Amino acid sequence: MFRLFFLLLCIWATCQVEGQKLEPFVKGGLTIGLFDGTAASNEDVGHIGLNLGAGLRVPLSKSRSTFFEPALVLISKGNVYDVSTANGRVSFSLWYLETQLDFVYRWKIGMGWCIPIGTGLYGAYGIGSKVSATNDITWFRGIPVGESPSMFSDTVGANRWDAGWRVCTIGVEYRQFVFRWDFEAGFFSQFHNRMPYALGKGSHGNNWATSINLGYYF
Amino acid sequence: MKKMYRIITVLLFGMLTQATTCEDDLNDQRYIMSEDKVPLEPYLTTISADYFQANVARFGWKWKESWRIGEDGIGVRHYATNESDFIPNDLYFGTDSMTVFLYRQDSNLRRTDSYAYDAANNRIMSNAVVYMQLTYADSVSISVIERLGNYYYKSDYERMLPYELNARLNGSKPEIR
Repeated sequence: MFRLFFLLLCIWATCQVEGQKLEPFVKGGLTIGLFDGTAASNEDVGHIGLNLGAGLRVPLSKSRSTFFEPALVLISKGNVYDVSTANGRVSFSLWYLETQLDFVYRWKIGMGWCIPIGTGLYGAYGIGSKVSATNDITWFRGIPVGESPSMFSDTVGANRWDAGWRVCTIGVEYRQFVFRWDFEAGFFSQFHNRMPYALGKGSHGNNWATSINLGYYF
Repeated sequence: MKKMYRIITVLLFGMLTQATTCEDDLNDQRYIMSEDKVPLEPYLTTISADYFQANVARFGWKWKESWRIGEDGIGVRHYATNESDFIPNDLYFGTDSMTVFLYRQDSNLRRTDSYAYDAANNRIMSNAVVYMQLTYADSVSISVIERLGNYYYKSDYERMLPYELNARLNGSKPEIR
């Protein structure tokens, strides 16, 4: 965390020297998560969670068309499964503190209107989790969901660290306001035990997430 | 030329080995063994009491195939033979009683007991003892882990047609205990 703070400080100092104006921003919205993106079966429903974060917009060119956008975001990912044999659902929720490093090109389309398009990387650390089930479901593919185990326990075996590619971020900006759609895919399997096999993903189980956000640039 | 013959021999041997290896006899699932050597389904998913009553109860189930589960948790396909201690049974679950059709030499018997379904662990309890654990169920087939004789088996059953169930009921005598 200190390294990130130091990095941001360096960026800020560089921009001050270059005479560029930094724009802090806040953003928040909804995130839909899946493990590995491709559904193993029609049981995968997708997890709907929230995201909330803040960051800096750092201009990379004098024309202010390309930007570096580091952000710190609290984001909820996971997956939800339909259990037809119990007429209920099982939900796996994971809360991450995520650092997003986006490079964005801002295409001006009119007075105050822009289309930002970008890509980047993310690194995340799991800070909380919840396994829940409806309709008295006690077991789901070998996981004792009735006992609400932690996702990071050996029973479920989720990794706390995650990293991946922020494949695409695209949206619409009007003056200080921005509406964006993001899509990110984890590089690594999120689980280190039999969980992905239990979920029918083979040895995979990467975090995939798509978000819609509203943001404001100060 | 000699080298060629050797290569052909090795290839033929390899093909023969492949052809005779009976991989179907091994169940691809490894069971978790409890401390008291009871196999546990590793990917157990809850089958609710409502689902059980709607899809399993009030139907007859005919035995299809079984795998004997060893102490290492590996299931090996088991064939019913005259010499074997394993004799497959067919089943009928009523709403509160279950009937086991026992095929014995010279006589077809049926045994009826009360049962209760424990949805917390998918267990079918009879006389306060775990009779079997349901590991999979849909409207046409069920899979269970059951104990027959000295061994545990993973067995698959398929749903009987009404006339098949009637034939079982009419063609068997109640077991005298």
